[in-house]
Amino acid sequence: MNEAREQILSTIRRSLKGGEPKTMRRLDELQARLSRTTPMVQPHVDDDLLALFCLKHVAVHGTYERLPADQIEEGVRRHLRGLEVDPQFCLGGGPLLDQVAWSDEVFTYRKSADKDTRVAVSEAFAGVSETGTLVMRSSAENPPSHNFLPDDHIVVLHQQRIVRWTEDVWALLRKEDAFPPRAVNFITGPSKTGDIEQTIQYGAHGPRRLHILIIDA
Amino acid sequence: MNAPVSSQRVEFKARVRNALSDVNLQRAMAKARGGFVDKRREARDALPEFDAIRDAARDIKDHVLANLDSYLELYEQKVRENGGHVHWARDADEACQIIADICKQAGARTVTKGKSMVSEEMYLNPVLEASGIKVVETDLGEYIVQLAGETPSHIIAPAVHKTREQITELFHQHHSPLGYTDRVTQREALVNEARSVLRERFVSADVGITGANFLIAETGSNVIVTNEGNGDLTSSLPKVHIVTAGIEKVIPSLEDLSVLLRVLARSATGQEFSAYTSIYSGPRRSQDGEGPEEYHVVLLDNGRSTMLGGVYQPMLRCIRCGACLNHCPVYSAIGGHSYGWIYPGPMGSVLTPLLNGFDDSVDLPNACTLNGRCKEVCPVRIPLSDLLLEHRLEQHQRKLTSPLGRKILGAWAWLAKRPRLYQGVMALPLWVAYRLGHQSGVLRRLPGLSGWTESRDFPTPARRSFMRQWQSGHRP
Repeated sequence: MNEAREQILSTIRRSLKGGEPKTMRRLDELQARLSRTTPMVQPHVDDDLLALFCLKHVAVHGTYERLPADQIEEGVRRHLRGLEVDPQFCLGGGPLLDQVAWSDEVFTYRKSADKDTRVAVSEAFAGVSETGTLVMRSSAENPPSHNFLPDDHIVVLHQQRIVRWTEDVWALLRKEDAFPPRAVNFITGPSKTGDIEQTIQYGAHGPRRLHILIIDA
Repeated sequence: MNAPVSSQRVEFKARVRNALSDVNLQRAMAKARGGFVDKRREARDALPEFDAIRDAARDIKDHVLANLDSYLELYEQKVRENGGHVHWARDADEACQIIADICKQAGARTVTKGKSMVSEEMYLNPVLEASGIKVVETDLGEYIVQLAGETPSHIIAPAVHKTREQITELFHQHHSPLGYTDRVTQREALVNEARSVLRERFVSADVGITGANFLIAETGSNVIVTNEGNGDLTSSLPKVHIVTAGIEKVIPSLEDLSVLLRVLARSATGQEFSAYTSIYSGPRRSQDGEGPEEYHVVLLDNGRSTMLGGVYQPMLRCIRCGACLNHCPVYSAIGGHSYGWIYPGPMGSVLTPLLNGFDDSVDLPNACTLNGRCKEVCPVRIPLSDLLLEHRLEQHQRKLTSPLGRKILGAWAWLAKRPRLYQGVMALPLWVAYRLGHQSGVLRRLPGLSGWTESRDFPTPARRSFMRQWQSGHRP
């Protein structure tokens, strides 16, 4: 196997002329490029990040509600009532969700989702205004199965965590202790497929509906 | 000229003829036609910076290719730091062997797969199945073609050649034994049935195999972009995750990823961002409650390393968006299977001879009208139509084209270098063509060129050539 590695690398070097491994100086230059975090070309994004985020999210078939932090439970229950679904769900964690003192009206499970999980309530690491995208960072309390197995995914997002571009997310992720986490899932609208007659159908394998509770500052 | 070449040529022409008269294929392709093109145009028009971002995307890829050895080593080191394993495969057989060994080690009985064109390139499924493993494709389009015993006909829309009626029959045939005895015909019901069947597979799989849209050297991650979420379930639920990727997939940093993602989805489906873009970096962390215990990456060369440094190097910039297929009139008429290997359309016609052998793919670079739309829409600005011309030149030099064709071309070149003689010789057919067609304005038949006139008329030429008219003082 090492033989394959050496052969592939030496063919690359030969094809690229010279055939020699890179000099230390060249390697330093590449390392420097890797650690440079200045963004390259970015599209123009208006200053009202929240408005654009909501617009883009709705454009990809998402729904949302704006709430103060102390009404998260009401927001979740109201949404589930609208769907005629019992208020029991897999629950993630984070600065917002950890503060909710859930009443006896709801049943929460702190575990991975399984194939029969109906609802998950998660907290987003960030939101990206540019495309109306949620950023989910995997951790002990936020397993990725919550993002992909339930029929309904409800995500809590603090308004101040909405950034302009994906590049701003990298900056936030790099500040975290565990970088990189095992998984970072960017979610833009509910699951969908165009594989039958190139016509969009929602709820392919992931959530059929995506609802965001945007928590006002 | 050897025998396999001529038999391949017959095969290609026969495949095209069958495709053009295949009612189901033509119906399915007619439904798809235009949709992708319109959506891409809308997405492009909504982003004023689109062309500047394409330039940046091209530059990133060029930079990586010029330093590919170093970036692969940097990437490998990071994967190791994350607790993952990197395996190098010189060719398809080696890659299959590595993957089969990992599966065996894991005691795997069932494998789920996210969409991976590179695993198609390896012919992985038959190898795993031969060692007694059940392989389940989970992208809906891939699942449909797997049930049909076929290969994808489009790199991002694998089942674009299938009609809804055909899918109904496939599901009925394969799902009835599982208890789904109703024959479902509506799109929503078909999607729901597949969701329900595949859910069981996701949670019971021992190994998940996905591709990678990008590999990131900075973080040792693989990135997958999907709309269904199948790739994420495949990456996260089984206890072993195997990533398959060509060596050209590595990019430097997350900042580079931002640029490439801005052109990928827009070029592919006309979306600003796909529903799911995920970055996976190794096995589960000690505190994680779920996620794979093992994370493997299989890097496939299979001819790519020899493409570097030559005229075809720009082809390694390809991010597999499918825009060139969607904009190709030939692809849209004959469908992906006619091309004979797993990569169809313009990108396939450039890549297949390089990865799968020149001798067996002589017709591909010639099945092109050189209209240049592929080159125009490519998000990383690969000069596809120029590379197809390059292939034609190489075929001629390697004497892979037909001896008669080369003789005719040689005679024409000889003649064209002698202008007076050329004009004299050309005057006769011109005069004949004019006499035959000047009343109706078109020629319905041309001797020896029925392939052209069967489906269209040939406009009648002027009585005298442009040169003659010019010399006699006629100025249009």
